[in-house]
Amino acid sequence: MVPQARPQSGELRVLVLEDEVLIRLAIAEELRAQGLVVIEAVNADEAWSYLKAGGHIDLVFTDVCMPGSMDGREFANRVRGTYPEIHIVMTSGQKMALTEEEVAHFLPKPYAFDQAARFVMNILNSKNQQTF
Amino acid sequence: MDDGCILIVESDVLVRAPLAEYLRECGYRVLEAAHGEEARAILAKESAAIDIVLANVNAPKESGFALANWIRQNFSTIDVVLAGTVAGAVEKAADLCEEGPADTVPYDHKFVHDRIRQLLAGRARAKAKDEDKS
Repeated sequence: MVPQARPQSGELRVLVLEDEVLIRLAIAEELRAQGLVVIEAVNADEAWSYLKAGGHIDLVFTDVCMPGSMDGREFANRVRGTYPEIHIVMTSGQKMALTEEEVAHFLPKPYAFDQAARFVMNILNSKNQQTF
Repeated sequence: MDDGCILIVESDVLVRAPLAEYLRECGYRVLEAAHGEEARAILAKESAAIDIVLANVNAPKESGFALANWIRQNFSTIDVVLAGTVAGAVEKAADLCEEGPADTVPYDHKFVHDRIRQLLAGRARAKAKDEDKS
């Protein structure tokens, strides 16, 4: 089975990485309510396999602390290196030292789901404005 | 508009994500679980909303059979569709699920959609019958 590589016109696609299933469900549905197509991944390995299979993604929304072969931050670095066009939002409940690039796209936990959706939409909208 | 709510339990993201996306395009609300433990957490919170659980028989952590059995014991109004590739397993599953297992993995999206439509129509008929009685 091949994920959708070529999105429909105007369709924006977000990959959500979150190992807490009820948080993942809630944020994914909030983002879908904004008209986004949301792919859910339980860890970075799943998310990476989706991207490597050719699935088109505009923005990655990832928790930092996750089980698996890499955490959300390592995953974000890998995505930046391989797919620099993809925007990345990191979220965490732990205090951490962030790079300048990470600060602008960091959402501390706990977050309100509508607030998180607005955060994502602002980034996607600014991306679209840069494109035109 | 949601035409029904489906919970997909499938460990392979390359199978789960495209199927979920397809069914959402068909108008369903689709919830996703990577394994039985996630499915149980979702069911504990969302059981009233869920019409059908579509689960892979050959899940790595907990078989679809065990999950189907648990769902039947705890949420008898939810229909379960098991999907798998082993003929014997499919036969066994018929004892567990009212509608019996029907699908094979990888999923034929249109086939799954047809099956979901049939199940939802059956549920709507049963509900109407119950309302007539009361």
